Amino acid sequence: MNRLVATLSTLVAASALFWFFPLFHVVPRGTALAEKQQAAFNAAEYVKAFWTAKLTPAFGEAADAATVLAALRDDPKQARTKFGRSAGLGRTKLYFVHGSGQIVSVDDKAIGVSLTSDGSGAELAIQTGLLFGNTIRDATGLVRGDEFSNSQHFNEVSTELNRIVETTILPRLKRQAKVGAAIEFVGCAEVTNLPRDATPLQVIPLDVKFQ
Amino acid sequence: MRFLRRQFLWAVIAATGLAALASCGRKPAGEGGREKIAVVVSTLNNPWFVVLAETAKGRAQELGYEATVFDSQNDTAKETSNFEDLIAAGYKAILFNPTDADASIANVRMAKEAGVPVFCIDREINANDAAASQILSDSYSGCVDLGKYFVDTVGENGNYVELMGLVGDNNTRNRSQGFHSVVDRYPGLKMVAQQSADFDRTKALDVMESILQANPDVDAVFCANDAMAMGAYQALVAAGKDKDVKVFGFDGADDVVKLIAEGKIVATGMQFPKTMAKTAAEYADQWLKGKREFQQKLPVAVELVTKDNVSDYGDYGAKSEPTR
Repeated sequence: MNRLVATLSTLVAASALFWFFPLFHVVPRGTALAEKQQAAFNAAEYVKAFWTAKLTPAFGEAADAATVLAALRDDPKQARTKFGRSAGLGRTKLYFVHGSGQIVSVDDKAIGVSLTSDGSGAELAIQTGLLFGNTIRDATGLVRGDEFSNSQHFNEVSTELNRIVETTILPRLKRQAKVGAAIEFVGCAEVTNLPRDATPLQVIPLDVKFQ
Repeated sequence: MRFLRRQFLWAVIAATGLAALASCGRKPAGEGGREKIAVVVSTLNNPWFVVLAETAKGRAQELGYEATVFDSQNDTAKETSNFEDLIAAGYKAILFNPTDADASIANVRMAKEAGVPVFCIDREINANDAAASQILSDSYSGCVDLGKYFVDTVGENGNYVELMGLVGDNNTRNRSQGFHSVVDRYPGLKMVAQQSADFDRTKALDVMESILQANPDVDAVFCANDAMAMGAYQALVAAGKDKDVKVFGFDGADDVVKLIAEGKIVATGMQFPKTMAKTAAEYADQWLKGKREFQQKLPVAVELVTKDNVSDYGDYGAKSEPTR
């Protein structure tokens, strides 16, 4: 009888011990992987540091938008080689541009900008709607896929860059943009099909100033 | 004279012995003395991967190698066994379509330790220091474009289903994330079901049939590959809903491209398997000729194929293939 009580007590004690201090946890494989990856990379912190330390100092290296537009119109092949960037193989080229001009139109999704003062139509459409994809991440060539062992993290950088532009650049731009105003900008553009994608050139703004 | 003859004899014996010793460590070459390249593919139970494997094999042969295809049957244990066999058999390079982004790393490391370079094609491994290079579809961007077209064609309100691929594959997650990075911005689009069908047509048919029973009011289906899009479409035809539900795929498989031209499937993402496979074979050739510096992850753009541009695509590619 005493032995039975002792055995049961030991079992109860052991069960309690393992209940509070389990030797292992069983979790779904997908969840475990997702948690591991989540813990390993913080896109918000990465992009915050990238924006300040690398992207902003590179604004001065952006190509002149009027020159790029002229090259895209006159010699697309040379424009691709001289000004375009891509992360890998593909028909799409990305352009990191700066310039100044006059606002000629404003709607829900874009601000039309003329780079010349002759009153012609918009040569650029600065995007003010929802932002998707990798244009900002890849246009400057400052973030390389080789830095990331898992491409999901590389893609999270894009999502975060888009979010920062949507939440910090676009609200002020939309508030201040008025037809006739003079504007300076730094931004990124994606061109796959010509002349469609360059008339007007769709630019995602990274920095804007009103003169 | 006799001394010289004996010395010559000893020299011949020594040279033969040295040659024999030197050859002990060498693995047999292929037919006609050609070096051997292995193509290890996750599955051959999907025409898209057959094209990937056969193109890699064909390009390696064009470059003067003996090439053999190994099928991992979507099983990492089988993949390991393939790697062990081909390393022992003296293959000089591996063109590799991994089964699992994490579980396949060990196989790549095994080959690297044996001095055999591995070039990943289409699917990624979660390591930057194992493969010689990884030539990968930009699934995320491709699905961003599909997501935008989805919103354009389905509208900003509606119910949709998502069929996902293999859980361990990064392409599964990248495609889903790319698609949701767009569609989730429209609160009127409601995902009524999200299930994995392992990139498999038959499984997709079964899964879609079950989903339709529980959710008869569906406007669209987003499938993470074209095999599943075909399975989902088949289920919709059987349920008499194929004209009401819009199907979106991903891959650029020939049967789906044809159905887009016929207006039965809405869109897919063309992945250019031939470009990726040829590039991997050419990289392996360059490695074997001494080059060592390769971009670790080389993304290959995915292009949106719709009824408006379908005539530009077919035979697992486009009229002009993407370049740098």
